Amino acid sequence: MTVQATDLVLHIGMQQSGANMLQRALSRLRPQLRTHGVAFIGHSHIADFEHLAGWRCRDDADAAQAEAFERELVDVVAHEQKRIADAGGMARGPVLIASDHLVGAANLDAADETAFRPNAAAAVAHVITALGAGRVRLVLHTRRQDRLMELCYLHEIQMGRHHAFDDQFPRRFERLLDYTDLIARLDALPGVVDIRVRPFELIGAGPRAFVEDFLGTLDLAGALDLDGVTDDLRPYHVYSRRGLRIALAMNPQLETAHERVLVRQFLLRNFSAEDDRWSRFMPKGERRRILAAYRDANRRLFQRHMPDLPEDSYDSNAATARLGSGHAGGAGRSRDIPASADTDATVRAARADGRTAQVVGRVRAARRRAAARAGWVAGRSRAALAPWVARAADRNTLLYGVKVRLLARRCDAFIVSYPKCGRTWLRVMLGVALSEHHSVAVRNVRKFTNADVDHPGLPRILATHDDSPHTKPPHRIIRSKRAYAGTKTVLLVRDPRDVVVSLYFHNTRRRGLPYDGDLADFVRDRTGGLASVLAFYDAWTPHLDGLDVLVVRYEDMHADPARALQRVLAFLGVDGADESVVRRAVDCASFDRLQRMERDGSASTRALRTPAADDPESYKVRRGKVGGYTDYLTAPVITAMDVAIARSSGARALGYVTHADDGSGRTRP
Amino acid sequence: MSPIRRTVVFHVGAHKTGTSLLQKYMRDNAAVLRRHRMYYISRGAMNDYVGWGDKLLADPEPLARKVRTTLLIPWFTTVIASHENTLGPPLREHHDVHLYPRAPEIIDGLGELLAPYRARIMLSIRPQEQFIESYYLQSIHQGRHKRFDEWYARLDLDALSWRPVVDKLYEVFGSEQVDVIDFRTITRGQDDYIGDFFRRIDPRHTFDIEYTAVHNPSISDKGLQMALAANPHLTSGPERKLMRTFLQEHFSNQRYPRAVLLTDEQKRDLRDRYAAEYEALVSGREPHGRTAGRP
Repeated sequence: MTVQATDLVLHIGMQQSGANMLQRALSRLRPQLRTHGVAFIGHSHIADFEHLAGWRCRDDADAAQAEAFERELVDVVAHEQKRIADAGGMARGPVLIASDHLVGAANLDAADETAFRPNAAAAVAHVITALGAGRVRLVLHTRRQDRLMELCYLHEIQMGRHHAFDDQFPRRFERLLDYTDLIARLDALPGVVDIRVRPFELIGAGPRAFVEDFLGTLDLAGALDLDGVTDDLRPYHVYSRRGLRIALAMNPQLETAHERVLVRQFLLRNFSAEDDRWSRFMPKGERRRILAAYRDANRRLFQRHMPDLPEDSYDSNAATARLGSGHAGGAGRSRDIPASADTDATVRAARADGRTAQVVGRVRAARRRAAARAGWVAGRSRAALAPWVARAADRNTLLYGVKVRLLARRCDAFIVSYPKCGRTWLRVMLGVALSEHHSVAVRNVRKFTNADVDHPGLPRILATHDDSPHTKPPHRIIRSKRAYAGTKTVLLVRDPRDVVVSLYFHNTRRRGLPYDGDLADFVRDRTGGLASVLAFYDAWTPHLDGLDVLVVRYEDMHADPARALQRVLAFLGVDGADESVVRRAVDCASFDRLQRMERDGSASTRALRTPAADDPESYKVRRGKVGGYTDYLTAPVITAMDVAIARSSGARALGYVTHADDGSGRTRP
Repeated sequence: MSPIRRTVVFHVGAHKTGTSLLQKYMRDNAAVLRRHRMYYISRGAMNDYVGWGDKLLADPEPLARKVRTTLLIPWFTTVIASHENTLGPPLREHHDVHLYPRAPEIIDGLGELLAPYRARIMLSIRPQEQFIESYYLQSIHQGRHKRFDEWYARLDLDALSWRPVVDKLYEVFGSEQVDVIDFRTITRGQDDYIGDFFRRIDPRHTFDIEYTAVHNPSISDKGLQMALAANPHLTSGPERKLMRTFLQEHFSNQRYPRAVLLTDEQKRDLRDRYAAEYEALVSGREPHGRTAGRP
């Protein structure tokens, strides 16, 4: 087969400068590139070549290997061009090859101190010769030298090595990694008509802006649809400083590639750089010396090859940061990731893969910006009152009425519950269902029940513990609920015995509040104990007929969460939520999943983070068991509780009938 | 019915002798125990009551109240408490008495606490050479990073006898109320080990036990070397747990050679010192004449 192209575009790296990310984006864009006649060959193609060793970017290539490599390369390019032609595209469009091997296969190390990427010119020349290209454009992404050295070193350690930074870059304070020298060598190659240089640091504006900036070199900026292409791309996937220390300690014990992969995956999952900052290990003084050594060379680089960007962009951290902030010219701040269900999927996929919070954070940040542009409020709760106002209002019936009416003006519906009645569970289910049904993505689904999300057709829901009954003795719990008139209210209730046990563990294990007594004492406590729960139920049940209230029992939710959620959605006026949405919401909020998130610390909200992962009793999502109180309380205590519940009109009205009523010894729903 | 006629079974350890297995079984089968009129105080609750034995000494009242209130329930005839930390931390480097240097004072405190009841004390033990290796590996799991040779060199090999613990238990509770369980019997199977525990409480207990506990594999020699290297860099409990889980999953002794800690000579030395005494203790041949405690 023969190659038809005379126009060749080579993205040649640099290593640790977003090359891999760009290659992945271009792979996803391949169908669109074909429609523009661009034959794209990614590094993954080349890496599959049987005779990759023949590439002259490697020192040990012999002539026979080199010829075999050329045949493979020509075959791949010709095959891609044939596909384009068969589909009716341009037969002689440009060929785009993206491979950071083009600048030299190995990572940067001491060898680069003789010449910066010594094999780059030979490798590029080899490809040009093989394809017989007449017009060659090169694209090179640069990275500031101090970070380039750090990242190249981290990469080596992640591959299982355990040498010192000094060993890899013994002469790091000398001006040896001069991009202008490298560019001059490449520029001298026959056929090279243009070298486009862009700084990797533009990534600060987001992967989408970074890819768009690159597509500008192909005159394709704005011509391709990048939706969904760049959402999950991330440039940094390296160890944190502590991850590096642990790797240096563990790597000497590793003998096989499989072991190295296992350790790398473990450390990247658990000791990964949360952001760029945490992967920096170079002392400030060293960094300053390196920046000073390269200042003049880097200024020349920007003057000659990136005139649209400030020439001092590599002079300091602040100047470099401006490259990605949109204030330095070039790429602007990302207008990229849409707040769509796709980004939710991205976040979920990242979580499922156990990847770091970084990709999640990046997507979320973009989502917040998108939400803000769309006019939604995704910040602090609009419904929030100053804490002291809320506290004062909860202790005075008149003020309490004012507070509830104020809140009612800002929402369409309340979810009212005593603590530990399964509110988090309902909120997550409801949030996921609303998010999916209305295609609205926010950082934390609990915002849907914080009246924090404004979207057409979406009910604003506010979850509240009413007058904080768990902090009061029964006689202080406010009984008038008239202020709720006119606002839909979901009253979430649970077996009072389970509530008290759960609240005890919540207070003592999760919040670490001192309590002078054991669980049985807490049950008997007039403040927060069983008496408070029953008083709260007694306060609400007389209003069930007069107000627009939907009672949801935890036990019913436990038995059939989908049905309970459908009831709530119907009550809130969310019409047409199909079964798949409900099913996904139920799955997302399943006990096992929420508890796993809490155990892993992967939940996006602090409310779902345990203070002690090894203490199951400290979990917010603790047991999720109906009737679990029997595992903790003695028979006399249970009997006393049953008697108190039997005497409570509220508990009885809500369906909590005990053996004290019917002699069966069981709670009868 | 007077609570004095009820039984309190206190399983006091020792570490690395299947205590977790028993505790998990009792936790997961609380209903079965209830049917047999036994009440198990969960290990989580016992943490609060016992600590490392220090809480028990400083404030025994919460545990006493728990036992008291439980035994007020007519149905329950037996309360079972189990916590491997009851006798305090073992193998302290600066100990001067024996394996569990704080055991005597804690056992005295326990004796006072259980004085109103018929107490049965369960102590599981294993041969010293096994106990030392196993406890060392646990300490590595918990984040320590001292090399075995260094750690072992600081132990007083003359003070590793189980006898002082057993004798103190005999003294306080009476030899017939103390069961010394040989952990080696677990080779007959976990179910059998659990069943034996309950038969010791009451020979009439014959309920079927079919229990699959989560296996807790030991790390291999390679895993040990990795843990020793990584542990100095771990700063929190969750991090240590992550590392432990990772090493147990991928570098356990099921995949790699077992960690060799004691040399054959060291093992022989320990066996020479303690084997005969150990066999006597677990066979109950030596109740001693020091049963000065209550009958």
